[in-house]
Amino acid sequence: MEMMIEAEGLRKEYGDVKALAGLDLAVPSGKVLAVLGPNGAGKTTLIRTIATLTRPTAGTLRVVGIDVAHHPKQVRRSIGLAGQYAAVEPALTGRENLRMVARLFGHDRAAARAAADAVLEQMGLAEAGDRLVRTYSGGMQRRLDLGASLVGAPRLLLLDEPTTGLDPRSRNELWLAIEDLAARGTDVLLTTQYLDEADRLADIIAIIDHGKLVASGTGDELKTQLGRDVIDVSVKHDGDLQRAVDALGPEATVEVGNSRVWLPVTRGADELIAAVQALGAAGIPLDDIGLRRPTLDDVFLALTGHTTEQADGDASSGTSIR
Amino acid sequence: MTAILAPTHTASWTTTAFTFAARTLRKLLRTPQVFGIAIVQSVLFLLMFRYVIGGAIGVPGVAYVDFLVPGFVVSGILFTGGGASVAVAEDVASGQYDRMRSLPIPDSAVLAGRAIADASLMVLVGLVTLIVGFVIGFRMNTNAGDLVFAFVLLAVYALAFAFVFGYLGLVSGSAQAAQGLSILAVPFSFISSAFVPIATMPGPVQAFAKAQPLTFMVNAWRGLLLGGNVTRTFGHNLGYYVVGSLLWAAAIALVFVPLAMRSYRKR
Ligand SMILES: Nc1ncnc2c1ncn2[C@@H]1O[C@H](COP(=O)(O)OP(=O)(O)O)[C@@H](O)[C@H]1O
Ligand SMILES: [Mg+2]
Repeated sequence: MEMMIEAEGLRKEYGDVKALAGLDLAVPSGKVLAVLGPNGAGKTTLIRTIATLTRPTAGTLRVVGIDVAHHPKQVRRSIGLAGQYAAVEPALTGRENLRMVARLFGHDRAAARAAADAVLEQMGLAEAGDRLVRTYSGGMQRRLDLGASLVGAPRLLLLDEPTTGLDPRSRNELWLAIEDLAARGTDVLLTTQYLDEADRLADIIAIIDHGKLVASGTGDELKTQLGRDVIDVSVKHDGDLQRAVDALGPEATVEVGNSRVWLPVTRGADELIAAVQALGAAGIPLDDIGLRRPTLDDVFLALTGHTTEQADGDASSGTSIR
Repeated sequence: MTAILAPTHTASWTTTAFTFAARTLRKLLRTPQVFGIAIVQSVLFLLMFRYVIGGAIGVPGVAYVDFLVPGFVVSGILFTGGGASVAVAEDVASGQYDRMRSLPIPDSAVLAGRAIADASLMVLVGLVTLIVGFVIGFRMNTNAGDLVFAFVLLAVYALAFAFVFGYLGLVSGSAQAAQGLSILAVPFSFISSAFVPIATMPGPVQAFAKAQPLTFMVNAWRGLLLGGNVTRTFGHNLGYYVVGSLLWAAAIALVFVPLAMRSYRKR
């Protein structure tokens, strides 16, 4: 089987910081892979390592079957990169940006012109194509940046947090563009902090935390892997959170910021009744309590002990450096 | 919708260099902070020296305006270069260099393209400065051949210095830091023969001024524009300054091209 990505024991250390701490990951071609993790998890470092911009400290990495350490130039022929920030030149027009990148990908003049036009069309920027990029909105710049990674028709697209910082409409437009690309057969590897984004776009989700793979599989597989339903408790007063956990037993976890307590269960209805009774006995006022199928949020919480939005500990609370 | 075809070849070295040079030159010319300020700065200082400070400076054997304008054109390379290194730092910070590094193109061609664009800007600013020089009374004593040669030399110096500024832009880490580093142009231009004769400087300062590249380049330019004999008043004949400046340009390139290559591909 053709592989998009094969990483074994991949490490990248910056002094004491282990940005990648022995990452193992194998994903076949023909997929959209979402690398999901909180801030500081090592997503950008992984993308940069795949894109040959960062040299791993240890481990092996093959991208579309090519060893990155030995044949970086060949890897560069096969990838298109859209980094964490839109890397387009504000003083050029959209069309000029795309033509330049197309030329550098190896197109001759005529082909570069055609590729730029096709990409502008595809990204919904045909009308803005001759305007300076400094007049574009954030969403348009992101789409142009995505377009610039496409003009060379690469086998693998690398997108680092493509929708971070976008308003919901731009986000949706970008999702549609990515889905469209995947439907045309381009492999896509994107990183995200958003579970809904991973759930919507990806065939395979790889959850990473502290530079390591925590779990991987399809969204459904991950949910099944958790294997259990979830009791969700919303307390009326935040001050009751700890008491609610005490009442529910050692498996209960507080979801900080949401005033919620979360409890995985195996015997759904029975345990729900028990939980209601326990909380009632403790005299804790509730907003809501319910039993539901696990979401990716629950998976993440169960696997890492924290939610995607909330950074825990030292490594992840640092500012991310590209 | 048209399908985008994959390219059958990778871009050649020359295609890469000229594509990136064209893009960079466009960017610089369309960014008033770089091109506009370089010109305004150069012209403003030229006027100051000509009409405010110049009266107090005597140069044996040459009218001060004739002495000054070639000094300004050549030392302008350093001031324009400061802006160029800020632009490099911006391109690094905005991720544009990351994209370049992820493309199947030769590193050296990207850096060469950048240097060609920056050097073109430096020569262009030099040309504008020279024209303003004519307006304020500068008069040449030269022939077409020497004038063309003077501009070839200017382009050579500019190209060598473009790698210095490109390197500073790459290692500075931010546009602000690059801006800070560009202050280096001040001591290098003032402790040279660019604005005043070095004979008046105290011993150690004079020794530095005599040896440093800008003095060779400025004096070579003066010789070519004002007639070869003028350089004798600075101590040596024209050939000495021309050869010396070319050796300096080669030495600068020899050091800074590899440094820039290394910091470009630092990972
Ligand atoms: N160039 C660098 N120098 C030092 N530390 C870095 C560098 N790049 C990343 N890091 C650190 O490595 C960790 C992972 O960073 P990153 O890959 O950017 O995470 P993410 O993209 O998931 O937010 C963070 O702790 C970050 O501070
Ligand atoms: Mg990141």
